[in-house]
Formats: sequence, C-alpha cells, structure tokens
Amino acid sequence: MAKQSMSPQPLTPAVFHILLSLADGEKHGYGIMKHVELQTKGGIKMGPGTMYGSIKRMLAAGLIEETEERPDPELDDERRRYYRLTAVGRKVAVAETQRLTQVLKIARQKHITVCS
Amino acid sequence: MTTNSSLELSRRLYSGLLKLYPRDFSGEFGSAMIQLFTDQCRCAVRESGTRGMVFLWLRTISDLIGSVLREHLASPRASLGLLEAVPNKPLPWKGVALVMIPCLLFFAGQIGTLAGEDWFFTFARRAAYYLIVPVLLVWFVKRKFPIWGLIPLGIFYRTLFDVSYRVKAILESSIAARYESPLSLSARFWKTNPEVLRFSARMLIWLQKYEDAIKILAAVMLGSAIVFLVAWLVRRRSFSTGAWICTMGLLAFTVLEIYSGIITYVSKYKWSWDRMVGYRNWMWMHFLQNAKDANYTVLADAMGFVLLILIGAVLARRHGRLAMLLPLGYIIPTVILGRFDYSPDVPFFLIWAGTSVLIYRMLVTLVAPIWIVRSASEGKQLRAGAIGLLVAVGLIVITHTWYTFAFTAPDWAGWEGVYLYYSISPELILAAGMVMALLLYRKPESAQTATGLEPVGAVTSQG
Repeated sequence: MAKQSMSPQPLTPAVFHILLSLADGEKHGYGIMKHVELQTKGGIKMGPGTMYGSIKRMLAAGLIEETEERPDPELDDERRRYYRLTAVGRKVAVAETQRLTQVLKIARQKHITVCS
Repeated sequence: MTTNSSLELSRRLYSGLLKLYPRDFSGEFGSAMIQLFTDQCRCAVRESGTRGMVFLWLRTISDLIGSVLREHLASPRASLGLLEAVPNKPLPWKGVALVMIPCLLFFAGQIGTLAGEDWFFTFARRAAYYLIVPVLLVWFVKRKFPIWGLIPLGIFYRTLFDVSYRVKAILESSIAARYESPLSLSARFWKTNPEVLRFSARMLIWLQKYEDAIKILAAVMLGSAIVFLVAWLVRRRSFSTGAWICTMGLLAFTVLEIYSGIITYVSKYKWSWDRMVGYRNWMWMHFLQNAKDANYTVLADAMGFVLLILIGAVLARRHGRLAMLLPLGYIIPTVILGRFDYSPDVPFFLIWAGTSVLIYRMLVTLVAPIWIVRSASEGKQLRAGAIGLLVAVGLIVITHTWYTFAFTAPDWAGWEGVYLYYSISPELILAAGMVMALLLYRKPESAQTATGLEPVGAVTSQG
C-alpha cells in the first residue's frame, strides 16, 4: 500500500500516546490501550474505534507496522495483532516531543505554570 | 444472567455494531476490535461487576458514534452513497436505511398529530429540517454530495419554500391572534410570552418596510446564482441545444423576476395607482398587478428550481437518466407533507383518510426509486420508473383535487381548472426541473464500459 503522508504536527493525542506506548516494545491493541490509560492515569481512555482508526492511519503513514511474530498461541489469542514502531514513527515521536518541550519552555518563560 | 452469558451477549452485540463501519475498515480490523472489546469487558466485570460493564458500554457507544462517522468520512470508497465515489452503482443498503430514517420521522410526526399532540407538529414539520446538517458536513469535508442527502435536500427545498411566505404569514396572523392553524403558535403562547410578540411585531414592521428591497436583492442573488451556474457549465463541458434552451429559459425567468421587483418598487413609491388607472391602460395595469403578486414564494420556487436542475444534471451524469427519479420521488413527498392544513371544522375521518393517503404515497414514491436503482436490467428499471412516477403523480393529482374539493366546496364549481393548477403547480415545477436536467444531460465519456455496453440508464441526450 502506498504510504500516505500524515498531517503535519501536532499529532492527535491518541496517535502520540500510541507512539509513546510502542516506544518500549511491540504491543497488541489491548496492551496499547491499557498502557496509555496507565500512562495518563486514566486521562485518555480509547475505545476500539478510536484505537483502530488511529492505527489504520498510522499504518498508512508508515509510523508503525504490524509484526509477523506471535507469542505462543497457547499463551495468547491468535486474533490479537501486534504492532511496533518504525524508524519514521520514532522520528515523528521525537519531533513531537521536541515541539511539546518547546511549548513548555515558552509557557514557563511566561510564568504559566500549573499550581498544585 | 451469568457473567459469561453477559460477556457473550456484549460481544455479539458489538460484533453486530461493527457493521456500521465502512466495509473495508471492519474487514481489516473487525476481529481485532472484537477481541479488544472482549478484553475490556472481562476487565470491567472483574474490576467493577455490572456497573463497570454499563460504564464500558456507555463509553464504547460514544466512541462508536464518533469513530463510525470519522471512518466513513475518511474512507476513500465511502459506502454512504457519495455520488462521485460510487458512480453507476445501486444505492447501498446503508444509504437506503438513511433515506428511510427521515421518512419514518415524518410518519411519526404525521400520525402523532392525529392524537392532537402539538409538539408532533414541530417534530414533523421542523425538526427534520436539521437533517440537512450531516449532508452539509459531508459535503464540506469530502466536497462530494451524498446520495442519502436527497431527503434532507428535499426538506431544505421545502424550507426555502416555507421561509419565503410563511414567516410573514405567521407573524401577521399571530399578532392578529386569529390564526388557528397548528403551524402557528397558540394565542395562549402569545399572551404568556409578550416579549416574543413584541419581537414578532418589530420583525413584521421591518419586513413590510424593506419588502421590496428584499425582493430586488433576492432577485439579484438569484440572477447571480444562475450566472454562476451557466459559467460553471460552460467551463466544464460543451453545451447541448437542450442546455441552451434551458439557459435561455432561466435567463428569461431571472429577467422577469428582477423586472417584477423593480416594477413593484416603482408602482409603490413613484406612481400612484390612481395615475395608473387614469391612463386606462388595461394591459399595463394587469401586468403591474401580476408583478405585485410576485412575492417571496416565486423567488423561493425559483431558487429551488435552479437547485433541482443542478441536482438532476449531476445525478443524470453519474447514475443515468432514471436516477433523476430519486429527487423526484424524495422531494415530492416532502413538498406535499407540509400542505395538509388542519382546522377544527375538518371531520376527523377526513384527516385520517388524508394522512393514510399521504403515507401510502410517500411509501410508493420512496420505494419505487430505490427499486429502480437496485434493479439489474434496464427493462426492469424503466418499468419500475414508469409505475413509480405514474402512481406518485396520479396520487398527487387525485388527492389534491379531493383535498381541494373537501375544503373549498362552496367555491369549487367552475374553478376546477384553477384549483387543479394550484394543487399540482409545485409538482409541475419539479417536473419541469427534471426535464431541464434531462436536457442538460450528456453521457460522460468515461461511462462507456469495457464491453462496449452502455451503463444502465445512460442515453445520449437528443437535445
């Protein structure tokens, strides 16, 4: 399938969190979802539609790829599909992180900070 | 219900709901999504029991609605019936269902009114107008017109029809507090809402003050729209003789509209009627009177008319000539439905009978075009088209004549032709629009199939 270009940054929260989730290794859909939920302390709860819609677009843009390797079928359901980050996906994640860092720096310069 | 059975039921329900997604999307990710949802269910039950399951379903449904819309809009082969994405193909079943939903809304409203429920009038006559919103949304995102948008478009046309004269009529009659039609608000409402009454009065005064200016402005806008339409057609493809006839007709119509607006203005402010009578120019008088009668309704008709020609031409190019029965089948019922006035004097059985006929007619006019676009052979399509059109038009003529007779019996004798004309005039306008669209129609070059057979319904215009 021809790669489609993802829209320029900023990435959507769902896409960015999926990228972050896959940064430390391949995962299946439910694994990604739980990881995102844990990372954001329940702030982002993706449903199957949002999750696989984002995955579809990320696959098309070449940010992630499906892995052929499967765990032992006795340990896992064979219907699960595993995804991992591509080199392009890692670059995009780094670029988005840099962008957010820059935004945070500007906010701090303007003394816009979160009061706890 | 045991946990396992509730899990199984949820899984099956969710599997069914996946059909709402575009086929290519659900085909690729369907099983993975079911697996993910099943995992979520297990987790929800384990952590919070039934309550967790309920919350999960609420979250899943909101996710489903958003993602279904997103995927349909993003799908390159959207199966919602986007005209340019699926040319020369039957209306998909999802499209058929979407077409039927607004129709069912109308049914509910129409039947509800029989029970004397006022709010059903809003439901039947106004709420469904907002169905144009998703159509416009799809058009805005995809720049393509969805075929399932024809019903809302019919309603939109009806709205144009309404806005022109009904606002004024309702304002006038509401202030006079003597307008008994359920279309208007009740006298009690006006008594308890004086601020709305004051606003209505101000609106009416404003409308009366600038009535002629609005007419001229609307006429100029209409003229501009037609010029743009013609320019677009000239740029896109060569004109057939039929298209020239159509264009000339439209231009003449526009000139007449603008002229009537100017004449109205002049007759009101520059010359008095007495002076005109003094000239004893009967022809001129007659023409002036006609020009004064050219009200918003005419302009609204004209706008709807242009719209119909455009849609008809687009449909014909994409789906063949018979596809134009789609707007004809859809728009007629929506135009007609708003025409059944109720009054305390009308016997109840007449209302029931009229409503039954309306429902039957709507079914016929809706089902026939769907039958046409789903029929395999051209012969069957032609037969279906002929039957559908004849039944629809026949019913319109018969019921309107009956309707007119039922409500205007004392003045009826000797005026049959006039009443009949008034009864079927919107349909005549529609039919004329369709004929003009046919004249505009030309077989697209790409419509030739590889086998040399013509696509269904594609016949070169003789115009």
